[in-house]
Amino acid sequence: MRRMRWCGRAALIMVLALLLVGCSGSDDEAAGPDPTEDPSPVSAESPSEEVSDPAAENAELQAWIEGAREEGSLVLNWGHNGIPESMELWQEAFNEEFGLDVTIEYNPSPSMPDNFASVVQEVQSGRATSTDVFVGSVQFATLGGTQEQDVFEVVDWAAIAPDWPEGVAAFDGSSVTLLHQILGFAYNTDVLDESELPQTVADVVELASTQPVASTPYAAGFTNLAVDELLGPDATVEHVTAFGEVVDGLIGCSDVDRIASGEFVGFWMNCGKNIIDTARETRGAPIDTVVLRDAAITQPWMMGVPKTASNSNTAKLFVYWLQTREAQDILFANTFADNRLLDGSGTGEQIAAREADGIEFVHFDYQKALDEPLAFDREFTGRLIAALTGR
Amino acid sequence: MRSTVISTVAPEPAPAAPLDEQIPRRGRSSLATRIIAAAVTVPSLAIVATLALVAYLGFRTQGVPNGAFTLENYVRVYADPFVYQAALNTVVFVGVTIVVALALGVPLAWLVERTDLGFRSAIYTGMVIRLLIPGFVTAMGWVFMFHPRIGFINQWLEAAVGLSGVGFNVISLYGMGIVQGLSLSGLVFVMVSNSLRTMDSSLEESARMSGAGTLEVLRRVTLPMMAPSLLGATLFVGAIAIAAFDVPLVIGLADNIIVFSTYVFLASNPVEGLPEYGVPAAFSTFMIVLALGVSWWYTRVLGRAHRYEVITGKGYKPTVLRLDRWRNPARAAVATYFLLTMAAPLLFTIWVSVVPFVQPPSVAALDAISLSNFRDLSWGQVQRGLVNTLKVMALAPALTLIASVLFSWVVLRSRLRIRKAYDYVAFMPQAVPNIIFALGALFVALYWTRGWYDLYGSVTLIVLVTALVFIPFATRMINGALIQISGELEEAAAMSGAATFATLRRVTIPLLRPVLVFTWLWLAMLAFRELTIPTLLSTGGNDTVAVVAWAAWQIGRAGHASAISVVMLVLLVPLVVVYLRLTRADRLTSVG
Repeated sequence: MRRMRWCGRAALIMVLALLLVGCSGSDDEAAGPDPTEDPSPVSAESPSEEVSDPAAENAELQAWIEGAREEGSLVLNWGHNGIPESMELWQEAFNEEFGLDVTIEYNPSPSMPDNFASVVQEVQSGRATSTDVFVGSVQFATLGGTQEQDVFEVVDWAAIAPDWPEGVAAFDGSSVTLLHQILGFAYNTDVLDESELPQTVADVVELASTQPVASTPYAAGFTNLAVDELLGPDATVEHVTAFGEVVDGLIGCSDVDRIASGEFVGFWMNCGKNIIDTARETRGAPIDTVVLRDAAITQPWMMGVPKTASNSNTAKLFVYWLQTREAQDILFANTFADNRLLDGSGTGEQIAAREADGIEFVHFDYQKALDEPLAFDREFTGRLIAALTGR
Repeated sequence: MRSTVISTVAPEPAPAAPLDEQIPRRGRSSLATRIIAAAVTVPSLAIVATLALVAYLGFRTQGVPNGAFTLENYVRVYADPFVYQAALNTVVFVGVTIVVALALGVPLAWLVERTDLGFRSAIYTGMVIRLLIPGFVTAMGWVFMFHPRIGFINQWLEAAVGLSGVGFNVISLYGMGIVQGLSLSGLVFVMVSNSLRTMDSSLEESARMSGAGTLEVLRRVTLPMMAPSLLGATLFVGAIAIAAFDVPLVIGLADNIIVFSTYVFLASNPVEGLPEYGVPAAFSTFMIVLALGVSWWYTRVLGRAHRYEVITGKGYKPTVLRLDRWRNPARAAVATYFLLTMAAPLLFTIWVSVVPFVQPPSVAALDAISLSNFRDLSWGQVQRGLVNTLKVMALAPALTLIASVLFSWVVLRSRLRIRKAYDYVAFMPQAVPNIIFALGALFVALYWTRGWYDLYGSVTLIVLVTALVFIPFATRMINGALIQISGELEEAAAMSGAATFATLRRVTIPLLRPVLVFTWLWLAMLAFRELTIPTLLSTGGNDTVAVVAWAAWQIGRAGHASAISVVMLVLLVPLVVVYLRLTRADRLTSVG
């Protein structure tokens, strides 16, 4: 009985102690200044550090560098495949490049819609965003840009980085490309040999009628087929309907282990060749991707700096720096994808190799995503989901 | 003084007078009662306001507060034939879950509390440890054991028998229900065993002395006396099954089986566009109305609760039935149960944590075993998740129990005219999926908390929301125990001059202590496992370890997710064992 009283009091003290600790407000210790307040002015007296040439010639970049020095941190809620492995290397190289001491706080957040929703809600409510840079598909980039939700900061990238190829930055300056993904048919290399691999969308339906092939419950990527250069809207609906009648199961974009295990022999449309490559190269999973001749698509992942980001200067500087060869090499080494528009791109080489085989790619970028009415049309997507899943 | 002594013959028929005049209650307008009611009003208002906000969101585009007014969400829900298919699937799924959970949990509770089966502490410990294994890992394990094509147990069976298709197909609606039911049978066990432990066995003894066999006693005496706890367990399991999305997501979607929870999950997490909260919010309005109906029915059952009053001021000792030749078969059955519900998922979790990608066990796979998944973990994030989780596990149950004791006291012991309203409110979070509750809380925090009371992105918000959604479970547990405590004990205290608070502190709560202690542990385990609330309220810095593991799972790193789960098991199992050992004396010696 005495032991129970002691235990009860000890437990009560512990609870009270935790209460005091647990009742603290936001846990974001890495957040910089409140963006709703006047930003700390860059001191005219602060010594200018020696930086790389482009930065030295660009006043705005210089301002970003000085701002980053004051901010000292960068919070990234990113969920991309292979990103965790890149972060530490990026931090070191980024700081070395600009003479900074920035700490990157990385929080794996795999749900792109959730991340985007958080950014929108936070910006619209006037709060500092939980991530300083949003990264997501081109569709989210267009949603966050000036044509839609307008939650990303607009930057004159043409003035800051005039040597960037066209298409790296969105035309309205609201987002910048991080990497490109190649879409295709993922398969288990232990089960399917080369002669059985589909080459066209019709081949996929034929294969799926005899062997277990999976897809995603949200018909990911299929709206891309609706462009005139590929199937067009009607043929896309026909194809998805036919595929929906033979698809064996629905899995998530990253459930590649269920292909590797043999539960499914194939996955159409996969969410990026690089996801498959990462599983194969880093974990030995017996999976690979084949790009279909009538459905060869690339689409970018783009970065936007929210208007109420706490570490806005650091964020913009980081986005700028990620276009350097050094940053892109780190990215490709870990995620097996990079920005195809930049010289020396690994993804660019993969595309070139397939183009040499006669495959013609359709490249989605920010402008094309806006120009194609059905590419990310909600109603059209709903039709495809219904055709694929019966919903 | 009205006699509430339980006679040693069959219960008398219900008296004609209304229940209010039967159960001793405190004065209508006593100050203490009003203070307690005022305290209970705070969480009640939080629940009602959150649900009202959710209902409001059902009329807003995208389900956001600043969206335009629209009826489209309701049209999409109630005019879409697919929703009815999903609803039908849900009815089957939930039905199978309830049947399996009760069929396993109730007999197990009876064996542990009413027979000389033995291994009581080990069984309780196993039940608790079971909760530490994430649901999505368990579901994946079942896929690899009983998938019709790649399930290795099915393959062994087919090889042994020489026939194809002899195994169990888990990729089906019934398979999903069985897996979910197995995982929830532990909760049924806890809720029912609590009731059995405190039940006076004199009625059962009388029945046996009158010539009734064991099964007849079970059917005609024990089960009716357990009715409130059985009903509470059924409602609780059903509500969890409706809202659970890990088993349906991992198993059901693989065969294109959509139930309500996956429908809501997919609507809230589209791969393109903003999350759609309006549809789940519109659906929740229906759930709220349903909850009111179920709660009304449940309170009617409670209204006849005095029939189940079995703890009096007189001493008693539960009779333990000797199993004799049935002991070993019973132990074998219990061992099989733990093999399926605990050992298999645990072994699978460990297996996945040491292989580079998820694959069935094989000789070739053994060569690939390594600790790379552990080495590659983001340990800073895991540590942060662990700290946040421990905060939630300690604080949320504490807040829940405080609120629940007060709720139960108001409902079962006070004369307040609106006490039934409090019971309805206490039950509400049960009927509404956690994602909806969390959604309401998210918008409240986002738009209406600032400065020193800013909750957005904090662990505090997760603690508060978790505490609120746990109130139904805790109140059912405490109601079940409080029903069985005769009012004569509190009357005796009152007649001795004790005020309400003193009686509550020195009579009622000590009698409730066993259920409070054990409920705290179970709530802590449920808080550990809770995924929906912290996922929706996560902004990066306030992740719990369940969110960290789920995030790893979502990016295809099942090995990392399992490695995190193994780390948690290694850290938490000793704590659980110590806790159970420290509280064992309380369980065995208390009268109530």
